[in-house]
Amino acid sequence: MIDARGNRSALVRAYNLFSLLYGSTAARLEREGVTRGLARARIQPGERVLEVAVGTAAVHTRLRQRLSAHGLLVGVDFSSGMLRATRKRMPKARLAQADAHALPFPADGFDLLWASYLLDLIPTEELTPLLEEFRRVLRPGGRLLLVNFSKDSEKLIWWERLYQLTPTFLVPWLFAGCRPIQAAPFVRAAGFVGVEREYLAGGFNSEIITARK
Amino acid sequence: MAIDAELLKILVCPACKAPVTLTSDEQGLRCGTCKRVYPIKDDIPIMLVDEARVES
Repeated sequence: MIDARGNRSALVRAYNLFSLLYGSTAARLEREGVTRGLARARIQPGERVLEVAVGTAAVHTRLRQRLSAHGLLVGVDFSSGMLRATRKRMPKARLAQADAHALPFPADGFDLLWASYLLDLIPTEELTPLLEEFRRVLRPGGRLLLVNFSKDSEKLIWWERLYQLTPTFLVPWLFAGCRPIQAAPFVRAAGFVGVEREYLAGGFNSEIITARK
Repeated sequence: MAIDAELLKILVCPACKAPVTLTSDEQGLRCGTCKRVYPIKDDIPIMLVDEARVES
């Protein structure tokens, strides 16, 4: 697994701009992985769900459908542009601008934490601390659901070769900053149990990871 | 539209994880412990430590 490249403020600038077209481009490629993730999430009406990195609400609308009116759905993103896009599609969404590494929520509050196509942007050394923060806000027994851009072998794929050759300042723009990852070991390192990985080839090769606190 | 009551109930300071309360002008959320005030823009609270100001 190669490391993420590019600095964070450049990435945020890129995503602020991507918010204008993400829904009609990347979100389509991600749809299959998200559908599989939703099937595995087994969301019950009335649950308390946090989505980290809501983007343009492609998943947030589908999470909302699966929760009853009594369920609590909260979404955060680091990009103000993405939050504006989500607000436009979902005027009543409960949103906050937040850093996934320092979530503005108390411990033990959520039944499910969902993050799709976020971890593939995060530098390798930050993955375990990030997942520890995710674990903190879940109640004991609460579920983690990750969908990540991934791959099925240890060999470098063409995306990774190009990613490594590209000048750093272009990485957020050409690759949206993301590289394929295999996150299960980091999920275990952060203290989660019952870690399962499903690999989904095609479109955007993806992994769906489920785990419990 | 003001900030959602359910959301307000669960938000905490990202730095010290203490509860936050709405400022009197309703333009920010103040942490009772570290006194940081997080701005609210377009009804979306900006819960970023770097964006907060510290009130004395």
